[in-house]
Amino acid sequence: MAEIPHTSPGPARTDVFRLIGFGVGVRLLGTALGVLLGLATIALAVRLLGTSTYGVLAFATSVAALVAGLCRLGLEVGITRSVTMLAVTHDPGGLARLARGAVKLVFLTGIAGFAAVVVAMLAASLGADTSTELALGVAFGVALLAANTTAVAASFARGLGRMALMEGLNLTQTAGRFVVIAVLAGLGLASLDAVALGYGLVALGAIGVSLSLLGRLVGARRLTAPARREARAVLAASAPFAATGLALVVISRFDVLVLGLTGSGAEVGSYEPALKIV
Amino acid sequence: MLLVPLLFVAPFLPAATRLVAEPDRGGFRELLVDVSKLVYVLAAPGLVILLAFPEAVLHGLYGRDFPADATIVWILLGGFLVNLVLGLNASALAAVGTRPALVRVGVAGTASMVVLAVTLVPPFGPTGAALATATTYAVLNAVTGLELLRATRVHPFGRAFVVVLSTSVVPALAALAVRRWAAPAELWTAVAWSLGLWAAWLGCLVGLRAISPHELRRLVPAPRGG
Repeated sequence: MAEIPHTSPGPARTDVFRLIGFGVGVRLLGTALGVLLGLATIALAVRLLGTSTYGVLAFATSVAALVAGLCRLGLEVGITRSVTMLAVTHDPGGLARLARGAVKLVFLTGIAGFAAVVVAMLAASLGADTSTELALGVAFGVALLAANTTAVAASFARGLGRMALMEGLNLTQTAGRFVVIAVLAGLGLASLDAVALGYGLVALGAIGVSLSLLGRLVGARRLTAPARREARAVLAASAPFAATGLALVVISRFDVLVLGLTGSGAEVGSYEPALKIV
Repeated sequence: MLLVPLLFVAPFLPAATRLVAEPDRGGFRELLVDVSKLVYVLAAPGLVILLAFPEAVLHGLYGRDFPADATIVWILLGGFLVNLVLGLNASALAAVGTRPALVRVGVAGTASMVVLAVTLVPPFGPTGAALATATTYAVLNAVTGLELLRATRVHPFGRAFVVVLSTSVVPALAALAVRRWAAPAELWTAVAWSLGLWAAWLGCLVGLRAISPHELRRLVPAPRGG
């Protein structure tokens, strides 16, 4: 890209600093709320299910989060940048096409991710019934799709400077899961099948809310209409950001992975907590 | 030390992209310089406490029995310091959207981590892992900074940011002196020393006009309809 030209300072320069101030404040609140809700969910779930059964749920959560992250490598940054560019050039038609392409893309990658989560749940030796593992696989497969649909809607909100909406979307599933576990704890229903059903319903709700809000943001209906060409364009726009996204994943995990493969448990146990605090 | 940059990156990308689209190179540079400076200043207490009192932090968080190794923290701190100073360059480069540059950055970061981890971790264990991670952060940020400079001729080192960076040596050295003479073992004492030294440094920065009230006021969102 050519060098950015010099122009006289316009209102955009004032607006971007306000966006930074507001965005950081909202992000701080959202992060704190997300951490608190996440911790409260874990604390309730461990008490409700017991450590061993909770381990099955934790495994499903980790697998779904990992596969979801891989399915949307680079997508959020690519979409945010494209949305801001289209918003500045006042191209609502372009925004609607981008939204259709992004939704199509996350549904396609979501199907592959769904299959990967179900296979991982059935392949792992978790000690739960096969029907329960299948139920969890399906629920977290849908949760993966919801996470990525929500990420697309949140990226549109971020690109348009709607930081509070972005944070709200990011918290949808976390808050929903907390409600599910709190209700089950209130009922004294310590069942992984019930958790799977609750998490699956939360994920379906999150998909509906995300698509509805995304449609309103870009002023478009039928975001799930066929959009193969638009999906290819979104993929091409996001590809370079996937390279940097992959680098960040590798940098944040590979040292501990190699240490775990070549060193002792004690070495990993002393290194990983130190890495976390820096 | 990743938390503060993480909070700023979410609004920084659309803000920087908007200035690229306008286009407003002066605004883009001002945004990068001022926000980089702010991120560094806000993350500085973390830098000070981890530099001077790593054992107090590790024991305070993980218990007295935790095998706290200050060397590991110091090695990691080197890489994360580079990331703190240059970390917003990655979002700035993403806003510019130079595709080959983004791919080169990704390849350099991934290759550096894989090669260094495979080379250093088996013989040196946790120390090797810390060296691999810190060096990779330095490589990643150096490549990103060079790519950004090549694409836009913009870098974050404005006069005020250089003043902030160079003067931050003072609270760091003062904290190391406290480590030597007072040696606080409790987490809360370490936090109190770090925040006290940081606050004194912050006062000096305002006095040196490296941070101005105007810079903070303009971050306040306008009231609705205003």
